[in-house]
Amino acid sequence: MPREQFQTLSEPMYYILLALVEECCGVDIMKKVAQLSQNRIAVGPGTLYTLLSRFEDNGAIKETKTSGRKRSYIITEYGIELLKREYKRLQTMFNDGKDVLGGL
Amino acid sequence: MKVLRKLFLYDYTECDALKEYLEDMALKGWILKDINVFLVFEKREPQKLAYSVEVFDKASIFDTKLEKDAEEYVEYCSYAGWKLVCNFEKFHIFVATQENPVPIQTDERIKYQTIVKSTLKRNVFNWVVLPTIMTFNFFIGILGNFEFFITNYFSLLSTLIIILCYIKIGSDIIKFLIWCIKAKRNFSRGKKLPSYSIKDLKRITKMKIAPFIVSLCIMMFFSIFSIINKDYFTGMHIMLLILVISLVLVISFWILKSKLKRFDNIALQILLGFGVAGVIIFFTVFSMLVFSTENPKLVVEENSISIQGESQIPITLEDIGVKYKKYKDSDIDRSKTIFASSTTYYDSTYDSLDGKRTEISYRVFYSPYKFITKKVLKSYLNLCKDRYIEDSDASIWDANMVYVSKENYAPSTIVVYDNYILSYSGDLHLRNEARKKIRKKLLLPIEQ
Repeated sequence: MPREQFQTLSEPMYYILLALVEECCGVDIMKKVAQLSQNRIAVGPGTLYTLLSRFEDNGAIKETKTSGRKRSYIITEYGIELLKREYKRLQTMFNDGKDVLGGL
Repeated sequence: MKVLRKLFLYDYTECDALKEYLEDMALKGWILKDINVFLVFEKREPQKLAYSVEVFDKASIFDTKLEKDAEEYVEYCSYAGWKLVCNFEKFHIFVATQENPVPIQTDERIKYQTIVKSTLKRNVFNWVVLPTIMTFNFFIGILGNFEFFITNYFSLLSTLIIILCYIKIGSDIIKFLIWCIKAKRNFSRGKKLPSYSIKDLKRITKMKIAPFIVSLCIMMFFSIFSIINKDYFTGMHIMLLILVISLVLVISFWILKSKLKRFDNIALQILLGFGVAGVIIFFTVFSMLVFSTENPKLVVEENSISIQGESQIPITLEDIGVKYKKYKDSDIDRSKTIFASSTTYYDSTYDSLDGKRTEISYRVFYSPYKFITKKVLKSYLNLCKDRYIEDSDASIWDANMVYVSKENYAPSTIVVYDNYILSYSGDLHLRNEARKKIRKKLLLPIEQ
């Protein structure tokens, strides 16, 4: 059973999970995060390493293969659920903001 | 090539300060090459370098070279523009290979959690196991026998060192807690983790070395003091301790410098621990045999070998009317500090044929301080609770108080004066003349 740790996702977490919708290794994740966020988000390699092990411990991602020292990961169903939950939360925030500020 | 070595004694909370220090050194032309027990710098052209000092929690505190766990981490960093210079324990030091690379840690909270977790793991022995052993040792081994404690420089020295260790451990824990509190406060204000300045770092390093230097000086002082006072047993023991510590430092340095694999490091450290314990036990037993018996004599009997002493003791078995049999064994055990002294005299005689041994033993404790004498008396009486009763013989001894034990099989007597205590046991059934003799021979010389 995955532990409930990620109530909300930080921006780097959100983008790492987004990147892992397709299988990729650590170095590719860094590239993809930069690409997806149009260079707005930069995840440091140390932070990425820690987050990947945390996601793996919590069952949000799983290891797919190891070639040499390179490990590849892919998101799990629980990870998708986390992403969707965060997406909905952000959408609610967006709509609430729009209701108040929309007319400005 | 010119090489500069600086002792490497940093905590994980000092990573950012160490980074500043390394960059400062590079500007002066000292480029970091390696870490073992030292930071090793080589002289090059002065240059502006960007370092990053990281704590990699999955590495072990026994790592001196890059282990498999860290290879992937180092590869991530190298992709982001950071080249590994060297690593030691959980420390990994990188230098930037491109301009303005993404910092290795972009999340200050994760960085904080890693530092806290690693610091606790690294110090579980120093902060939990060591103080527990020391406290246990202090109460059971040292305070448990107050007379031994106050008349022995070795135990007084141990107490001083234990106090120094407590101060060091306490200040380390307080320093870490202050850093944690500051970090939490910084988070709530949206600031970065707290960092020490290079000046602080130099001061902290000096503070870390100071307890070792002070301990060493105290040990040297006690050792020389003991030898001057002819207490060779204690003097040699402390000398041995200094020797063992120096040897351990040299061997540890050699192990760390050899950059062995994690498993080899752990195995060698354990082996070193056992080796040290073995050496100390061997020399303790050896020195006890050599130094604790005056004029030792090896006696070989039909089926046993023993060491017997031939000490000149003030009251012998003959003095109380016992004739010596074939073998004679007499011994004096002295221990003395500036606070108190305790001397135990022992005389025995036996014949291997009848196997019966006749023996006397008596001890004189003396302290110029009345409160110490009182405390020692209390420890004597506590040793055999409810066994001693007050005796009316005090006037014969001209003493403050006399206690005798109720039990007949181990008769013993404690005679108490203001500054000294005479205690005896065994076959010393004393007549009044003998008591006067003891008083004259044993106690009056001390009074004068």
